[in-house]
Amino acid sequence: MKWREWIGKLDYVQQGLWFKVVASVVVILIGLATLLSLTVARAAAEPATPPGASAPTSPTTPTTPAAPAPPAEDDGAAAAAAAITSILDGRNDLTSASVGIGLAVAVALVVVWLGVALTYLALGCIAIVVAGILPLLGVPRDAARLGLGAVALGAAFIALMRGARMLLSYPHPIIALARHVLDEAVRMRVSAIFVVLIIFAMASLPGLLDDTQPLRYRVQSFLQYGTGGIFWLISLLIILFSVATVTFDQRDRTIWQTMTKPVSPFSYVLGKWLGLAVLSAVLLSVCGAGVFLFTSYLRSQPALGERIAFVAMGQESISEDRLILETQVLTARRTVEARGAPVNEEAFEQNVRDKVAAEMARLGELSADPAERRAREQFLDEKIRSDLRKNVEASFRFIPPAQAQVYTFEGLQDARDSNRPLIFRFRADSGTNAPDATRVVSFAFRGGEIVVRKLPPGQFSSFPILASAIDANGTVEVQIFNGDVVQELTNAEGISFPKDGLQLSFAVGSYRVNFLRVMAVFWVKLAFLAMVGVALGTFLSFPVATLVALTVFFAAEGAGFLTAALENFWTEDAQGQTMYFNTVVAWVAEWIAWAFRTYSDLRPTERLVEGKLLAWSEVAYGTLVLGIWTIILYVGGVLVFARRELAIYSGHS
Amino acid sequence: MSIRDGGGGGGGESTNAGLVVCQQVSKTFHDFWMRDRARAVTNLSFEIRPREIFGLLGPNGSGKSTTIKMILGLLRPSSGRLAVFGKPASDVSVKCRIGYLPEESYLYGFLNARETLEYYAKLFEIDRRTRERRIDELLDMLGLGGAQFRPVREYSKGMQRRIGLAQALINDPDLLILDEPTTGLDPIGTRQVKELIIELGRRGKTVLLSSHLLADVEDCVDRLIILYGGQKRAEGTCDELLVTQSRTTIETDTLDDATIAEVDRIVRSRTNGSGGLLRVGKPRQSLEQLFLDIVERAKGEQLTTSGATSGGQTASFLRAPEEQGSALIESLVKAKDEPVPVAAVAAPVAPPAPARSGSDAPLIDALVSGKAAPTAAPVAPAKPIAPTPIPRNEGVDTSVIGSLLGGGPSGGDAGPQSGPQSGPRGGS
Repeated sequence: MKWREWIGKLDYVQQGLWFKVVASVVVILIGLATLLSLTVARAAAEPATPPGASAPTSPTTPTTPAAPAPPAEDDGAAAAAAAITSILDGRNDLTSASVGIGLAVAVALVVVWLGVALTYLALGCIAIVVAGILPLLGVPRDAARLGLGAVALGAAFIALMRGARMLLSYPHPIIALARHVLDEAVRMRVSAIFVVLIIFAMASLPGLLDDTQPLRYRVQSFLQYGTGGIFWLISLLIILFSVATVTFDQRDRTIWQTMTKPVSPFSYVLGKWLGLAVLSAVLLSVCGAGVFLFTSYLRSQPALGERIAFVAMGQESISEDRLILETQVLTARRTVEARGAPVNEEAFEQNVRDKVAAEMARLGELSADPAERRAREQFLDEKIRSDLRKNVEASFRFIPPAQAQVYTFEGLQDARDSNRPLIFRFRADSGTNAPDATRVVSFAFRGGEIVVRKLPPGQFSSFPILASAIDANGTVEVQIFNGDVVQELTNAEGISFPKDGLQLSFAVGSYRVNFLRVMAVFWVKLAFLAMVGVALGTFLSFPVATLVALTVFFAAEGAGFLTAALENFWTEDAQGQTMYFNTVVAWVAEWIAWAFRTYSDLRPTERLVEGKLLAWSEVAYGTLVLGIWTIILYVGGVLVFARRELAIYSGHS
Repeated sequence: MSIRDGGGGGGGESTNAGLVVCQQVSKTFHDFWMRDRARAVTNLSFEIRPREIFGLLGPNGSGKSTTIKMILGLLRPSSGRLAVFGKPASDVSVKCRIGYLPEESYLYGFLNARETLEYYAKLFEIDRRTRERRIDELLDMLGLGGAQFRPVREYSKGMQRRIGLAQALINDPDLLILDEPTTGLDPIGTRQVKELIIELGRRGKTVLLSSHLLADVEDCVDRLIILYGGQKRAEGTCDELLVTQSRTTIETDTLDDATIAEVDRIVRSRTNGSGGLLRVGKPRQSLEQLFLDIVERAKGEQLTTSGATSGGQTASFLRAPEEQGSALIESLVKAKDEPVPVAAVAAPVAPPAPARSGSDAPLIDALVSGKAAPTAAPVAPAKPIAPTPIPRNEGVDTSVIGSLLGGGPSGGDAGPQSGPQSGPRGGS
């Protein structure tokens, strides 16, 4: 009998009712025996009471005749002795031990009834070998940690997969297909490799962190790779596997057996998608739990400038590293950007009209056709209006040396009501943003608070401000001076703030709930990608469908970048002549940016890493839009699939 | 009347309506540019009646599999009408009542046998208790119990064929479609499949059997059609197509030359000199029977095998009611609310052995095929059918088939005929 057959047999055994009953009894008996042993051991460890003694005594109790306490100190000493006795009595208290044993027994019972008892026993043996024996053989400790992490994640994955399979055990075509997809996922090479890769990548991430870096950077790096990186890996798995599970069914003709059962095209596509959605949820749960737990561990480590965790060195109440970590990373902030330039609209419109008229006059002799002239005039109006608006805005965000500008942030009523400090975040560009140069910038807030910051240009920086800076209308005004207003110094060059270079943010929720929402968004995206793969697999071969699905994925992920890039992408040359290739490219890019705008705007990883709020409303809207796309793809896939002839001609041509 | 009419009743279809009705069906395959690539089936018409075992015979590329795939909805007819259980072939509801074994076993290699059957059973929405029991019985019946935890990809071709057959039976289908069912099977497996088909037939199931192996079809089917080049070339019962009405075969214990000469003289005198003994010889045991005997002896010596074993008895849910009890069978049959022929309830069921032997044979033949009951056989067979062997394709006039199949496997020479017992399903 081969090992695979043995595994199959053992798996069947551990899922049997009798095995579960017997194993449960054994687990409970072991728990009771442990508790009993502990009780007996504690009782044996207590000091023996001499015969005839009235009560057990402690060496520190005041009743000890050899050391009578002075009357004046009697009460205090008695209280202290009672406290110590209470503490020492706690040593013999079995409540905690009982709860611990009870929890362990409960977990073991869950494992047994999930039908993975023998699997967990095997994993336990592997863990013992990895953690206990390999280091003795000279294997590096980091490798042992990696192995242990992989075992832990693998155990979680196995338990969740088994739980999912149990949930999908109802005899119905859609559910049976979904469960079959789960079986396929761990047994098909194309997906099993990815699953192993994800687990090992996840387990290896902690080892990649640089302990000498500030804690906030370590946490951010871990969140970046732990969520963003793992999401990409899971996405690739889901895309490849969703295409494979449908196309391989057709290639290997196993679909003939399936579709000659009472399975409609509607059920087939839905069943495949459901399995992939559940697989995504399982993988996200395992990785998400790993990221969350390790982030919590990192949070409990000393930050830069701390003696121990949460205790700063010197006189400071909190270290800067810890402050930024807690207020800007492990939080859920709402961000408000500075209001745009206050424009005199009447003057603006007049300016636009004048410029258009001047330009039309200059081009007057080029065309006599009225329709062409109108089109030209409209084009000029749009272009001049846009350019002028950009110029006004850029001018507003530019501060010459030794001058100041006032910027306004609105909609901060909630922050004012909560009375919590706000974070002012900014980026000042200057000259060529040379990394070795520094600029001094001063910020003055309502109430007289002045902050002076010296920083390299082109980089984001931040500092906290009090909620008292917000006026009754929920507005904050900040006057920014290009120089040091206290020491009356000025920079040699002007400074400018990019569009998102002036932000005020304040905490509106917890990091934990934000994390949950981020995971929800990841799942919605994965479910959408799964449907993309399944729908394409219904009518394309594996290589073609994979290529198209990956293109969709990259387009969706890059839609935000495309949107930004399109602002600087021209479809006309300097002479106003249309560049046809660029026009087509722009059209395609605009369509992609439009189609995947919602997918792109969610930006879950970025928000988690920067501690920005991902609101439930955004999650709901994203779910709605991506859900609609998923349904459209589903309907398309079903229609195509229903019209296809699944069998092929096998005779002589 | 087929013997199944008295005992099965699982199908529940009216005998007037064809279970599968194929009228002027054609199928043309197109290439990418929609140009005609191949015309696989041309104006094919036939009807499969409820509770009959129907054979689809033809050489490779004759359109058998294409026809089956159209019946299953895997292909759409280019023209013509095709109805299964009175509904279009693509209707999902009819597939609850169909079991299908493709010409090759297309299975998920990463699943083991039990998981495979579990998966397909769930597609039929069979509850856990019934599912477990059927899986156990099918694995036992097909001799795969010892290898049930091995991934299917590691199975031999014959074992894969068996598991393919098991999945086709998991829903206790009313219509079983078997495309080349004995391909890859050893003689034991082949015999088992044939017995199973006959057993299912007795239980009132309808079976569509497609094969290019003539013996497979001949041993089992009630009626058959022969395809060649996508067109129907012949249709009828085995007797109609195979029995040479102008000849008579007599089989007796060994006769000496004098007796043979006497018989010859009697025949000549009775036929006014126009007839006589054309050939006299010893009947020959088939190779299949020899093989089966050897294996039986080996089994008696307790020799083991790592592959499929010869299997146990037919799964109880597939067996005729008289063997298992009508209550159990009724509980397993999905369509139990369908009308059951009165005869199925009232009449005692005949034992599984010779379907058309003895005194019932003329009546059965008359009711099944509609032809007139044959006149009294020249010699009443003292031992009409051997208890186990499946008769070799002896005594069959294969000229019709041979001419249609263009030199394909034929029934051999016109040797001593085994007599009137070599009818359909006569060998079990």
